[in-house]
Amino acid sequence: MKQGRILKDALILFTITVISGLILGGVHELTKDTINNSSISAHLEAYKTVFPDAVDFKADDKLTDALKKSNEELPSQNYGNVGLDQALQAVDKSGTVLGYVITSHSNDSYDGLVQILVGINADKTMKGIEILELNDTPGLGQRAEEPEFKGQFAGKSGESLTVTKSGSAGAEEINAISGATITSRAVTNAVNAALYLMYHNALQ
Amino acid sequence: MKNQNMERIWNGIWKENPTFVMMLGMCPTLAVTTSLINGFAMGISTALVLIFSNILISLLRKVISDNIRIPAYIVIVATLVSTVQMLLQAYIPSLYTALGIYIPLIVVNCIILGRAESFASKNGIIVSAFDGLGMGIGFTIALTLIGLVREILGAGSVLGTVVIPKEYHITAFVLAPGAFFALAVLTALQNKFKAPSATNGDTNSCGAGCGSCGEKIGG
Repeated sequence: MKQGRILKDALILFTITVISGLILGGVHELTKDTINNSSISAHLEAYKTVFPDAVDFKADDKLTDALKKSNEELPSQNYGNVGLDQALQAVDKSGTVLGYVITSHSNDSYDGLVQILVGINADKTMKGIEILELNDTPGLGQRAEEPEFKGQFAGKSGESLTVTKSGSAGAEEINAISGATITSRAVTNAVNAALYLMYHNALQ
Repeated sequence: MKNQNMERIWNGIWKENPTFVMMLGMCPTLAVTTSLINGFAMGISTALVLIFSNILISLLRKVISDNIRIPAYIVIVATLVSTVQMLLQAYIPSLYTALGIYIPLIVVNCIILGRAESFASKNGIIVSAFDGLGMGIGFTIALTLIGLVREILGAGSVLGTVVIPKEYHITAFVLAPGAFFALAVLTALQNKFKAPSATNGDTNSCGAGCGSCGEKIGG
């Protein structure tokens, strides 16, 4: 009697789990392509905000190889736990390469990962940055998304940037967000990773 | 019948408000109420899941025996949340980016299990749906309120519009300790005015099913 009940319960639970699994699988199949497409178009929009004058963003074999090489070399640099995710050429209508958009990340932010998009002109000056992913404290680290902080990067040149707390940043310095030095450093180091790719492996 | 449904909504908002009276679902309450809009978004997403989970569990209440109810509820709620997450990501990506990090948190919200356990598993489908709606609205109001207090004190703004100059911000309020302060003060006010609450000794306020649900499924 008791054993029969256990079997029946187990069977019911099994059925619920199987049906749930099937539903999840079905929904995943249904939404997979749409999710992929929308994330591609979202990325394209971010590229456009960093590089408004470019009409297309193309992958390049040499650039991809340079990215791989940089990723191997980056741990030995003093940038912490950073990495490069993607590098694309920004081209205008006539096909001239205007610069590069590089997706890089740092795992050293206050809440772990910060992923950014860095636009670099062909002459190695910075075009600007865009924050792709940051789950930091609102009012503190999250202020990295405000123009006051991320706007500082546009126009900077130099092989690597450092964060300063003095409030008056020099040529190769970035003013820290007050109360969020860790986030400021993580973002700046992710930018440095992109610069490393440009200076050491891509544009020789 | 209609009155009973309205009673469920009023019950969720006031008499058994999940946050202020039953003290359930404290983890998302403390974690995401850093600003008004965050609290509101978390409240609304929880309300939606709560309505559907209550309907489903009420529908299956005769099939699921007592022995397997907890794993069965968790599987149902988790499936529901994952489905909502994927559908949002595919068809309303802007909403998904705004709510993204909160959606998985809903699975572990003990209000959902609490209502499944103490209400939906014992009542009909329609009244369970209204119970979910009422609890959801109550939760949304509570989270929005805490979010408002923390945003004003911590970041000096309301809905992102600055109302207090930077020099007077109390940054601690957007951090974890601020969540405890805000909740503690709001609860203290409640006790002061002798409003029904799980903390002011008026344990009968939440009826028979609820006192036990707090013991079985802690926050």
